[in-house]
Amino acid sequence: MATGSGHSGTSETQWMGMHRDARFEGIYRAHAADVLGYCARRTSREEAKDAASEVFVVALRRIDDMPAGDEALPWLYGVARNVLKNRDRSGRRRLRLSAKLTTTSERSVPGPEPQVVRNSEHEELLAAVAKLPERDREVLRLVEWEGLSREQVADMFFVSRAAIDQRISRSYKKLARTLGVPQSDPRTAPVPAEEGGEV
Amino acid sequence: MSDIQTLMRSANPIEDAHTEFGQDDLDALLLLTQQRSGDMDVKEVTTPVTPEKKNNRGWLVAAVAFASVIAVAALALLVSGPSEDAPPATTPTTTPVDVALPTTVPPTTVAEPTISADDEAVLAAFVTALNSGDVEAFRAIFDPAAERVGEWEGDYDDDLNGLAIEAQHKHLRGTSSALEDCVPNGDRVTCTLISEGPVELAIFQVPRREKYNFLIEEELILGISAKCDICSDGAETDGEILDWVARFDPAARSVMGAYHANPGSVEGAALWRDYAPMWREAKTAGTLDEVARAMVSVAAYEQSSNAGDAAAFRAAFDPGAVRFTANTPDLPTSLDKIVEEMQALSARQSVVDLTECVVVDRGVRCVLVVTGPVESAVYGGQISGATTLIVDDDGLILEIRAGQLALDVVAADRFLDWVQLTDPTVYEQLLPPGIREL
Repeated sequence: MATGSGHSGTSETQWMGMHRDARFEGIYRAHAADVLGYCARRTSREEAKDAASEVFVVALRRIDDMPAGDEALPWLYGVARNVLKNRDRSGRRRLRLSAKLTTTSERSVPGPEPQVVRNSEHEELLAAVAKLPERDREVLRLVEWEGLSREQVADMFFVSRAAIDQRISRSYKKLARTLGVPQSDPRTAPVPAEEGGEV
Repeated sequence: MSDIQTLMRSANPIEDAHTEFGQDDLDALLLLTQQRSGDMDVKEVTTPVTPEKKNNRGWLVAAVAFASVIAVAALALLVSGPSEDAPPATTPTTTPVDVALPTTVPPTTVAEPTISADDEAVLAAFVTALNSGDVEAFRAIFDPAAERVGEWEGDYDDDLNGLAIEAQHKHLRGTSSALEDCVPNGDRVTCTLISEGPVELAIFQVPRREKYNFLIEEELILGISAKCDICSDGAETDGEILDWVARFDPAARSVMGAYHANPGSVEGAALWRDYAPMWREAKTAGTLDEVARAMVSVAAYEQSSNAGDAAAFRAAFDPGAVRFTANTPDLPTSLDKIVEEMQALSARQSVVDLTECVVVDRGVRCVLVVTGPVESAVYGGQISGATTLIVDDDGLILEIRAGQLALDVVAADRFLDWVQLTDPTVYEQLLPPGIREL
């Protein structure tokens, strides 16, 4: 879960007035573990380190465009998401090219699912999660694994908070149906405690 | 918390990243980032290059180099000695020594961050759809799940439907758009959307520039946010245009106002396209009052004609109006003839539209367009021609100068011949404006 407080204690003016290096250092110290965690949840540990460093290279280059305060981490997650997607696309392209060159049948493309699976129950769940539409999957993980608020996710995805609620509700319904797990009222159940829902 | 939610949370492969990754991991990540960032600096950032000072001793270097070449050649001759087999010494075979030293170094080019080819293709499709007014193509490049695609300045949100309609109407009002300076911006792509057309130029005097942030996923646009760079005086100018139009065409003002609030009518787009440039031209020339007065006559002519209202039509003319010309300047006709013609047009459901009006000395020159079933059947569309209305100080029509109508005379002749043979009694009634005098 994300626990870094970032520079939320720094005002916007103070933030912009800080030297770029100092700003980057603050960002890195607060969020490096979160970004690394984000990447590691979606790919292998080795890949995660590589991807996270790409994220911070972008952050360093665009430090002046980075939002301050609580918006910094979702911004970094957004970059991380794109970095992983680009890597995934490149991987697919490489595989397609390789398939053409070797004229062998197309190999299955490795998904970005996490490498750590604790037990068969989780394995089943993650298999079901993998079948959700990409965006629904990501919304669910950002809320449940990264611990972002639904408002933050709504901003990231450029949709309303209600739309995120709907997506999560829909995803949980699908997962419950697939796994045969009883599902309580989707409108109340998935709301995290910090947003006033039940825990 | 539901069972499934509990399961989902417990399936988190990394429960707490801050305890999962130690300081060593973070230090290694920082090192990797710094290395890459260092690479980036070398590749992407212009290193200030101080031009090398001009070498004032260049002549000395050149002389030394030349002397070296001579010395080496002489030594070679001494060692080998003259030989009969040797080819005659004609052209020296030594490679010329380049002694010129560079005095400046070309500057390193800045490598801007680039967007992916997929995103580029999506943006190109966006512009194509925008400029073609093809609503279906426009919709097709958006993710159907994009609940909110526009997050415009102020508190105005737009949805995909609104954006598609706006795209169509940009096309209808003759606006062409282009995306420039697209760069990645976090998880978005930021571009400048430049919209140029008669309406934009009238209101802003320059092409309208808006910053667009695109959120693109899976080769579909999920969201757009926009911020206008050149829109600050737009609202005020829009209001001025509407007030001005209200002086001579309240009905048009109403349609334009509705269009402004919520683009959605073809008529609204057409009126903005017509009136905005006229307003700009008149404002620049300082003739807003004169043009408004002239346009009173245009509106009266148009509206009474389309309503087939002979009394209102006559009222639009100055009682002292003495000169009417049709098709050629030397063919005067009378108000009665004009009224008769207007009624014939109205009876056969033809619609008169005075458009693209420009102000001329003592009046206004417009393109008169007549559309309707007869025009469509005979000419395959519409007939049109330049028409100038000269108005008096009260905005009443004093004189009409009608230019040559653009029509297919051969088709018209054949049609009229056919009607004359088929039913001579209706022949006279079917003559389109202008034909009768030819």
